[in-house]
Amino acid sequence: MLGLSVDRLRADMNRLLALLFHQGVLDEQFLQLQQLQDESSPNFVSEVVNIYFHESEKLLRNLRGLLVDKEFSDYKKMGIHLNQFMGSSSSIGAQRVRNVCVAFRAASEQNNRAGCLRALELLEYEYCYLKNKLHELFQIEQQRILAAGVRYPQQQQPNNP
Amino acid sequence: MVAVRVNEQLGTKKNFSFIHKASNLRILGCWIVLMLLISSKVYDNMNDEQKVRRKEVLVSMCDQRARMLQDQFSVSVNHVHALAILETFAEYTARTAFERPLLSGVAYAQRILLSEREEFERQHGWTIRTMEKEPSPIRDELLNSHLGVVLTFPVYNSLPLNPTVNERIEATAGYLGGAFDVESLVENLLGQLAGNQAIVVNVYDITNSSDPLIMYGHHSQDGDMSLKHVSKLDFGDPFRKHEMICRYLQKAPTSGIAIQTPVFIFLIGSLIGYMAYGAGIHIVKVEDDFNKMQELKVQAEAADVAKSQFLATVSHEIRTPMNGILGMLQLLLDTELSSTQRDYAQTAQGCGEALITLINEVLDRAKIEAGKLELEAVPFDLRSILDDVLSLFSEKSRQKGVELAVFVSDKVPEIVMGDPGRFRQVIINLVGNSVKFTEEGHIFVQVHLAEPAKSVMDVKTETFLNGESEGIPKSCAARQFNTLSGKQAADDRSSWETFKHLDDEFLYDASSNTMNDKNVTLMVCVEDTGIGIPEQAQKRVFTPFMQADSSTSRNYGGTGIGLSISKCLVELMGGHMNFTSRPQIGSTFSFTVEFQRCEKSAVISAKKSLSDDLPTEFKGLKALVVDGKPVRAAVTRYHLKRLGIQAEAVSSIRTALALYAKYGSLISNNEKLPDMFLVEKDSWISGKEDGIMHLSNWGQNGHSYKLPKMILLATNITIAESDKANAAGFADTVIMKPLRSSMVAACLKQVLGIGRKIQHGRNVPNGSNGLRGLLCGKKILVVDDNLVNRRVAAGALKKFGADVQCAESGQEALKWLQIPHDFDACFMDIQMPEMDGFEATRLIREMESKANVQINGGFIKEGTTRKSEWHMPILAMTADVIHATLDECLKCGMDGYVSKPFQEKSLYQAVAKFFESKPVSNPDQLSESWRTE
Repeated sequence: MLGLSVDRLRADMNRLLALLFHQGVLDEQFLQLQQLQDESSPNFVSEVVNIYFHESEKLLRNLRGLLVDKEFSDYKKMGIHLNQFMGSSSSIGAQRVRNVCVAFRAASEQNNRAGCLRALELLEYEYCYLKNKLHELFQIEQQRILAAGVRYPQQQQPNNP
Repeated sequence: MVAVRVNEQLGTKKNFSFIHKASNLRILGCWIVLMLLISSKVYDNMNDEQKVRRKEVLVSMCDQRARMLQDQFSVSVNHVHALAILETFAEYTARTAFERPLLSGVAYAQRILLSEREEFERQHGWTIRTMEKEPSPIRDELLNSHLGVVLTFPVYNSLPLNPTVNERIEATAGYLGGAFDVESLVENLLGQLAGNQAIVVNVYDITNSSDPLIMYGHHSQDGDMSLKHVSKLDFGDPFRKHEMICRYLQKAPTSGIAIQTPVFIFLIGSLIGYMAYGAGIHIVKVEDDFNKMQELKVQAEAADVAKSQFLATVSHEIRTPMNGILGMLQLLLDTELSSTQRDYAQTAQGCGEALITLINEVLDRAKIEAGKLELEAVPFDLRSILDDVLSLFSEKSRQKGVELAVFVSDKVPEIVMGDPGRFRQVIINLVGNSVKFTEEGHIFVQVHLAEPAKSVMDVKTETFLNGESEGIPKSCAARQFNTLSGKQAADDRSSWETFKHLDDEFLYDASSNTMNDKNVTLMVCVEDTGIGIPEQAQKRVFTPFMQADSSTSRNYGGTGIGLSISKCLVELMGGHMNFTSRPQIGSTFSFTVEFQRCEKSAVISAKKSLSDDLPTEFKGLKALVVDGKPVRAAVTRYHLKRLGIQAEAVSSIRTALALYAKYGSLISNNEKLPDMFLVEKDSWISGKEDGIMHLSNWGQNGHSYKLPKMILLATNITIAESDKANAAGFADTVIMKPLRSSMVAACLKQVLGIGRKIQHGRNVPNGSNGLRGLLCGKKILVVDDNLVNRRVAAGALKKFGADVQCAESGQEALKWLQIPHDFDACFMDIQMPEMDGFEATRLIREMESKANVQINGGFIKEGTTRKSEWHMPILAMTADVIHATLDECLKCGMDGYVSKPFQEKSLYQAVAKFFESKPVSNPDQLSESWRTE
């Protein structure tokens, strides 16, 4: 039963990933990231992604802060932030976030405030979506690991007596 | 009146220019005042005129009276004169008294000389008395206050010429006297004249001008004092002056006409003014309304745009979660579900898909309306897109038994620039509609170049109108239509004659003239033999959310938005869409689109990437297509041609056999025999009797050469039929329609036994093993300001065995790289705040060169012998891989670059190049790495 659930969790995970790929939320860079994860660094992906979340939230906050200032928006600074965001997004393979960043940067280069605001909203939306999805993914993975961990004692139990 | 009109016009003009009600009212007021003035002026004029006339009347009357008075007076005087010469005075006087009505009395005083006195006294019986002695008694006549004139004339007996006074005295016979009563004289006179009641006549003696003596009339002031006339009277007395003053008894009556006319004018004028005012008010009102309307129109348009924008936004917002719902449903369906649950989930998914299609359509429409839809311009292969579309509908059409075919004219370039997605959307929409509404017959998609097609079609319609019009109706009923399936189509233009004509035209048409053009206009027709569109509904086919009638949506589903979107899209692509449809016969939608031609070089490169690589191994093969219907045969040939197969079409199996036999006899001429026979199912069934026989006989006829492959083409085939086909020799294969080049290719491969070239899996020697070998044990510095990037890069490098140190800025990197250090390589991000990658690299290189100078200068210490020269490989990490960036990297002293995010292959290439180029730098480690490989 539990072994089944492990398989099912793995299938769920793959499906979710497939969905994310299908939607273009993620690209193959994420797979590469996953490949980097091995016994030596078992939590590499979640670690990196958490760093990414942390950084991204900071960046989003900064971006919003910059844009809220109606009189004067520091587009140059915004561009630096966006470059960072873009770089980290492409590193983890968050394709859609990255694309929005590109649009955002284009808008900021043109000093197009309205465009920036729109892009920011879209960016926040995409980011939230990505975050939720990745959290979901990690949750499933954790469950899988838990399930996989639980299986051992169960298997061992019949051996014990 | 003219003035009035001008004024009126002015007034209305003012109304045009000053559109305020207030000013209008003011103008009306002015107008009325003006009319008032005019009226009073008219009144004045008329009054004056009348006064003048009255005065004239008075003058004439007065003069007349004066003249008459004078005349009468002189008549009386003459009478008295006449009396003077008469002897028998008294008697005569008495007798003629009636002739002197004005003379109250006439007296004669005879001159009596003293000598004659006695005789006189005796004769008359009285004595002469003096006046003084006995005053005459006061007589009645004198008692009245009438003034009079007393005339005295001397009477002479005989007078010499020019008598002296004495002589006169001598000759005096007596005095004649007469008294005039002026009053009665005038009274009499006036009584004789008409209109004497109207005027007052006074006669004055004005000898003493300061105190005129009134002789006649009352000195009262009654009567009209304003107007009087004075006439001189001459009673023949040189010492006294008289005059007559006349005036009207009554004041001048105000004349009706003098009042009526101005009142009338005033009324008319005011009326006109009021009318103009009314018109002005009306104009103002209309203008106000117009302005209001315009404002509302602008608002409505703005609302429309807002609506579209809202739709676009909302649709997008809806679409994203909908994707989630659909994905989750898909996941749900993959799990273990009970049949009921599965049913629910499937229904939900179906609904969701329908919804998302609808949303997409609405979004498209909204985008188009909001003008936000932008078309791509990318090279694409039209034919493969059409094949794709066909494959989408092949299942449905096969189920229905409807023939579905595509034909693209050879003239149409293989690769065009345009928006493939939108083009596909339009085609899918049209074909989808056709599939939906067609139960039997065919659906045929044709693509031609627009310009020649047009001209040919015009010619065709002309000939149709001129020549064939009589013959058509007769043959119509029985005729097998020369279309794809033989069923009649709505648009005659697609019949075979035109079709063939078109294709020939293309062949003869010199390609040069169209090739030069940058744009290519294509004409796409989608013809079906469906239920058609009712006449009354044809007008609103392109109106969104309108279907032919409500029953349509009940029977066939759909929202009816697709066609309007397609039309919009086609118009965006620079074309037009129209259709002809005949109920129960079918519809033909045709549209033109404008694409750009591709550059020759681009075509070749695009071809490689775009064409769904049709196999080329069929080149040079020959095929014989047996099909009774030329259009269908042309479609088959088209697909074969795309595969490089030379195809010929014959109409029946018999001719095919005859041809084949001919080939057989000509074999000595090295004529190539057809490699395959593609036989349409219809022609096979119709030509069954002899066909089967011949086909089965072929093998036994003793032809030594290789038999052609027999292939059956069918839209749908029953098991019995397929058995029969097998028996008849179509053992090879049956190709199910709709034909698609790739599918035909696959079938042919199977038949002809041409194996797919074994796709050698790319031998990847540069895999992770190699990389691992290269990087294992190396100490690498990763410089990136982005924590995530840093982490990922570090992770990647660590995976390949490298020892990674991270630095988050250029300064930190410099610190790490202070000589001496033990890093083997450095990965440097270019875009960093404060100190970017270029700057950092430059500083590193400076440090190195300083160190090198020291080394070369002889200060060689034991510890530094490890490296003969400081040059650490620095690789740029950059997200945008542009050559300019690369050049700059090299200029700054970097050794290469890796695109970010890390890709194993490019990482390997960059690292390998660099480590191999400097094999001597670290022989120990390198040899170690070789060993591990």
